[in-house]
Amino acid sequence: MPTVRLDAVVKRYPNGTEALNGLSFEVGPGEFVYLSGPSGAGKTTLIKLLLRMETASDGDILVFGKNLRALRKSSIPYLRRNVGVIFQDFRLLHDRTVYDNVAVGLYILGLSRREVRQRVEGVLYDLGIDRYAGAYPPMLSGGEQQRVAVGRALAMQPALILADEPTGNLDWELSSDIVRLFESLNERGATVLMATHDRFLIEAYPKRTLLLNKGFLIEDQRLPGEEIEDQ
Amino acid sequence: MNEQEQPARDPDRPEAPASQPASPPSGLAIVRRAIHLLSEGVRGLLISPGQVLACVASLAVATCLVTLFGSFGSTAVDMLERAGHRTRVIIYLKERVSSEQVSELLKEIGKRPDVEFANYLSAEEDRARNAALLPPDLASSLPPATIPGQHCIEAGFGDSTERIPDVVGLTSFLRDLEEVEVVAEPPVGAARIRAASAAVRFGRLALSVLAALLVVSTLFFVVGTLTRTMERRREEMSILRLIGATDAFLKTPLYIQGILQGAAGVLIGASLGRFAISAANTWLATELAVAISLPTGEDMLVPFSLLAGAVIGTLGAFIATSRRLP
Repeated sequence: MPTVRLDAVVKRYPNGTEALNGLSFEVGPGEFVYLSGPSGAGKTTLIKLLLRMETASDGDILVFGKNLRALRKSSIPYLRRNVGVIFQDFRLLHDRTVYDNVAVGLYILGLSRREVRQRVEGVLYDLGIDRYAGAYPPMLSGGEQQRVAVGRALAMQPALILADEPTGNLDWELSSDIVRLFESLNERGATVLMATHDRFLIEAYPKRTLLLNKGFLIEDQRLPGEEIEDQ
Repeated sequence: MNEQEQPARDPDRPEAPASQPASPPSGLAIVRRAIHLLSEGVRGLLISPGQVLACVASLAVATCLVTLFGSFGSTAVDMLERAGHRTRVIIYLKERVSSEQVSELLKEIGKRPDVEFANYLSAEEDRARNAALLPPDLASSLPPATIPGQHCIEAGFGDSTERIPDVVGLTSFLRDLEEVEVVAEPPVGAARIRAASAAVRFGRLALSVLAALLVVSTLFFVVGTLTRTMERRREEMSILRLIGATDAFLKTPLYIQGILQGAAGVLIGASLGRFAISAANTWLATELAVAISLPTGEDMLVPFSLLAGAVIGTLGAFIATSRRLP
């Protein structure tokens, strides 16, 4: 069963703009896929649809085999608990410490304080920001804040990670760090769907790439080995 | 990607992700979540401390006023009802009224719910009663025949009756009867009793309306404070939604905050009201030497405050979250 499956998905906004136009593809468990394309290609819209922040105008979206169109509103939070999401603007809680920012999702899961502490400390250590546990996000650099955002997603041990331009505000070195971090998560079994328009990053860390433009899927670029495998 | 090339999965990773959304949370997880939400509710109080204090203060003032009005009002009602209950109406009968007609009259009068008793007095008994009303020296010096006496019925409103005495209704009813010669008004006057009774009823209604208005106004304070908290936490709530928070997870801290504010305000207000009533009682007893004890409602103070605070807080949180939850 694919982790993500889109079937002729259309997203049309009330003003008539078609952000996505008949998008169809599958992402299997444990895959690392880039969503690429210029601004306005539909990458962010797609991430929002996968998180069920918005609903498709037409077509079907299946995540973990669940059709998001048929998903009841009360079931959406339970879907999101299995999807780690990272945004370009980090979306951190500025009045909470780094520790609390990473732990917040675990409180939603209802883990004990001991379990929360173990997971958060482990994640902060893995990300190299354990020394900032008591600091507040505004005190950190952009790269460190992005790590906190990644940590919040990782702590929940999601099966699917959606990252919307997670390296958009970062320099090359930090961007590379983030991608390598996602690679390590992917190696541990998580499916990663990362939206980026940075073709240098894609070239440096080549993966399957879904190229979008104006809401259309222009190309599904697979690595040579994957193409052979598919054939 | 070739699945055979996949690295070994972390055994700690959750399996079957699709099944997780359907799995209900365990009892222990619910308790942990409840503790977390309680602490979040307390934290909510610190987001806009000035507004929270204003809300608690307004609740306290409103509750204090309701407590005072309730105590004074119930005392006034009690005093007026006692006055009414002690009222007697004397129905002087025409000479020709027979004993059978008297029995019928007694039955008719006894049927009225506010009348506790109705006794027949012969002319001699009435004369003796009138003589007893005179100063003993004067009564003994007068020839008995000069003291008036007429057979009559004495009707009284007793303490045991729940209704406010309708003196005017009774006297009007009696005056229309053919057997009745005259109906003697009670000493304070039926019109005054009626006016007092109407005043008490109006007072009760006015206090009820005032109490309702105070509750509604304090409710606005609670809703305003919680709305402010939601506005300050809007970004946080939208982030929590994105990572899997349910409506209940977002709403519960607001309900807890509302209940804590409500309970604190009502408890403080009721305590202040009780203190003021005790002081008033002391003043009445020492300065005015009036044997009136205003009820303090001491036994009900804490449970009433907690219950009323919980109701106001819950209602406020319901209104606030149903309109503006991100």
